Amino acid sequence: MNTLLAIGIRNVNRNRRRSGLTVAGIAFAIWLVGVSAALQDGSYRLQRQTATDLMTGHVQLSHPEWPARPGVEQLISDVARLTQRIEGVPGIEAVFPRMQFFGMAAVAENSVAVQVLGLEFSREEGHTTLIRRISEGRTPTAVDEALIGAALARNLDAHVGDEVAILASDPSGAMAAMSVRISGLLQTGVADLDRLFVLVPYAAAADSLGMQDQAHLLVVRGGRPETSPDLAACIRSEVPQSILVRPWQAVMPEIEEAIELDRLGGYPFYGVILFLVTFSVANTFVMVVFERIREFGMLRSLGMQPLGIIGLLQIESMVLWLAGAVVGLLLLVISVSVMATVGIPLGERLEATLTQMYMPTRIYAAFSPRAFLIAPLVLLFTTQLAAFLPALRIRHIQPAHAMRMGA
Amino acid sequence: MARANAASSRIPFADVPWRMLARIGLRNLLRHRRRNGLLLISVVTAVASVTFLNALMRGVQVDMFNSARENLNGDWLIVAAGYHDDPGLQQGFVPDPAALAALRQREGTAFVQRLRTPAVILSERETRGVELVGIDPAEETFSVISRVQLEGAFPDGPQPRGIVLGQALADELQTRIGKRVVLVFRDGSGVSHEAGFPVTGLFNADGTLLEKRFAFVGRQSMAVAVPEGAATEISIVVSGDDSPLDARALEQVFPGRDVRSWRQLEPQTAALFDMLDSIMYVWFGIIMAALGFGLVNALVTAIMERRREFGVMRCLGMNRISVLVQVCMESGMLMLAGVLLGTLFGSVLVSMTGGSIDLGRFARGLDIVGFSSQMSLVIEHRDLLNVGLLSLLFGGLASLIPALRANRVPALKAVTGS
Repeated sequence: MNTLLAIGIRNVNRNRRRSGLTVAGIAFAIWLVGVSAALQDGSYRLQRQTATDLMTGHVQLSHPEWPARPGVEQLISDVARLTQRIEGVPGIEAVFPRMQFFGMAAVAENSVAVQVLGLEFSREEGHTTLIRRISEGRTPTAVDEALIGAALARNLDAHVGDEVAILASDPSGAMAAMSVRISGLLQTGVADLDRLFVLVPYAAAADSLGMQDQAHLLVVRGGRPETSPDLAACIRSEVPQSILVRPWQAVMPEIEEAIELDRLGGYPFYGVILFLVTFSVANTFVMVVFERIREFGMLRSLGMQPLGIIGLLQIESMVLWLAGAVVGLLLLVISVSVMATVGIPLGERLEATLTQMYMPTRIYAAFSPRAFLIAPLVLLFTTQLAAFLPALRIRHIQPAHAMRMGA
Repeated sequence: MARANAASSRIPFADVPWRMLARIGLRNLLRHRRRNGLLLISVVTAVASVTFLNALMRGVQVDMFNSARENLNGDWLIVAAGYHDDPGLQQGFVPDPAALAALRQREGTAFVQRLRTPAVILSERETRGVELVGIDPAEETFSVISRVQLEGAFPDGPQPRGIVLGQALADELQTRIGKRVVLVFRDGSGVSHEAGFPVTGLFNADGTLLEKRFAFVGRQSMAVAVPEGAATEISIVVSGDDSPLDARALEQVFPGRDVRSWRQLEPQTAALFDMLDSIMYVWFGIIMAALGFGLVNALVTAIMERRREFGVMRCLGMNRISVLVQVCMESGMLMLAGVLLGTLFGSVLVSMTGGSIDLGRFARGLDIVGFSSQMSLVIEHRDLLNVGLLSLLFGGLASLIPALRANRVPALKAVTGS
């Protein structure tokens, strides 16, 4: 085996230019597929983080009817005790109650439909990015203050310091009213949110609807977005069965769908690159078998079995793959390290849009296992196959005839 | 004769025996069928994948363009100055009849006038915000209104006071055809106005974004405290490229109005649209780079194998340029065959999809970026031509290294094999 390995390495070294180009092809494919996958995974991480940080959190608890009919009457009770129990689950960072209902906001003669979000500003400050996106004014500090969307303020012709009356239906169907002063304007860059949202203190919202120790949602944060289903399972065992516990993936399935679509869309791209490089390797071995037919004839006449010669070519293929994989992975580690820290700018126009939406203006690569494994493993298999198929010709070699061919 | 020789020495390619080199090139390609067959498969795969991806990108662009245009924007949207900051009926204006007549006379130009205002819509159970749009249904031939699936009917004629809601909005409001909804909006004088409308129709667009965003009523039924014939917007589309419209021309026709193209109205879509153009070229570059390793490798090997042959040709009087041409010609023939077959194969693949791919499984994911779940594929002839020409250029460049190498071989050394 050692002899075969030594001969294999010597043969690869014999035609350095050709071996170099084949190794470069393998390294290029490993690097390109790896960088693409690392950038994809980096962007998915960013998407998940941005989506969960904005306002959804990692896990949501609600009335079972809430997802289908998010009406004001779909409440969960005993919020304080539930919060305490959930906070006891390992890995939980924070739990906060939310009220969420539609109503009508009016300033002087103007009225506009709004979505009221009642939340505890002080507790959510470090966890919910929505309340940090203030273009003017400040976060509410008193129970009668509110943040409203900048576009909504425009439509209401309202300004910071103005009073807004909010009318909504309470769970019994009676009219509930609330009066708040605008402490700041929200500019999220998401048109629907900026046009629709009024953020008020949880206590003010609960009070206006006549509720005590009740909420529409309990939002939980803990761990990474990818592990939320596990966290939801742990929480589920701690709360009554009548409460619906959903990881963010169930709350916003469209995000995971978009990620899945993008991920699947990447595979044909990888497939074509790997296919082209495999063909390049196959071509190399077609040439190798053709050029060295005399050598193989001689080996056969010296008593070497066809399987031994095929094995020799497989070792040569392995040596080429190994060299390509080492170079490719080395380049990949360097590239991903740079892209994970510095990132890749997305171009002036997209950057302007993303800045408006308070989103990162660069894509950062992620050190994900698939980025480092897909191409090397696929190429390990395909390069072996690419060497094996041309090598099958060796089985039919007549030693005397083969030795004459090269003469 | 002497003059002819002098001329040929001045023109580098004058002495190249093109026909003979072509014959030799073809023979050489056929001599190593297995190796060249593998190369050909690589080129075909590369060109076919680029053709397919380009068709997909163009399809996405067409979908994006149509969608941005049909979302009531048109190619151009004309509103009152300040409408975009403070939209509503108070921004209504009566268009100059002479300006409208000028638009009507332009060939390939169509326009429609609408009233649009933010409104609150209340059903028996729920309240939502919506963009209330007053339309003349018969005039809406180029917007999304003309192609949505409609259950019921748009309010028109004898029943002008009705409303058409998106299916998703109706679901949220828990209402249906025959039920009544109340709309609250500011009238032309800025005063809050309430009106009840029976639901006469429900529309189903490709995604839920439009279904939740718009509610349609007859233009007359929401013309409250606005002058007779007033509109808040004029949406214009121009078909064909023969007589393009520009902002300056429209600003002259509608002085003092805010004129914006769909690109200005939907900058994110426009940025993505332009980015797709770049993606096509980046993908082409990547594919050709991956192909290049195999191509150069095979060509270099072929040259090394044929050192003696080149030496003999040189000894027989073939000049260096002809050797160079010989190598480039072989590579060019291979690339040409690959480009033709790859383009054909890629086009067949596109046509096998029937012009679109059903991504219904990912409909919700596509909906958040405003894409339809039916993704179109569009082949543009200029893309086929670009890919073909760039591939041939690439093939030529890739063959230059081995060709120069063949050119450097001293004739005598090559023949003697030393």
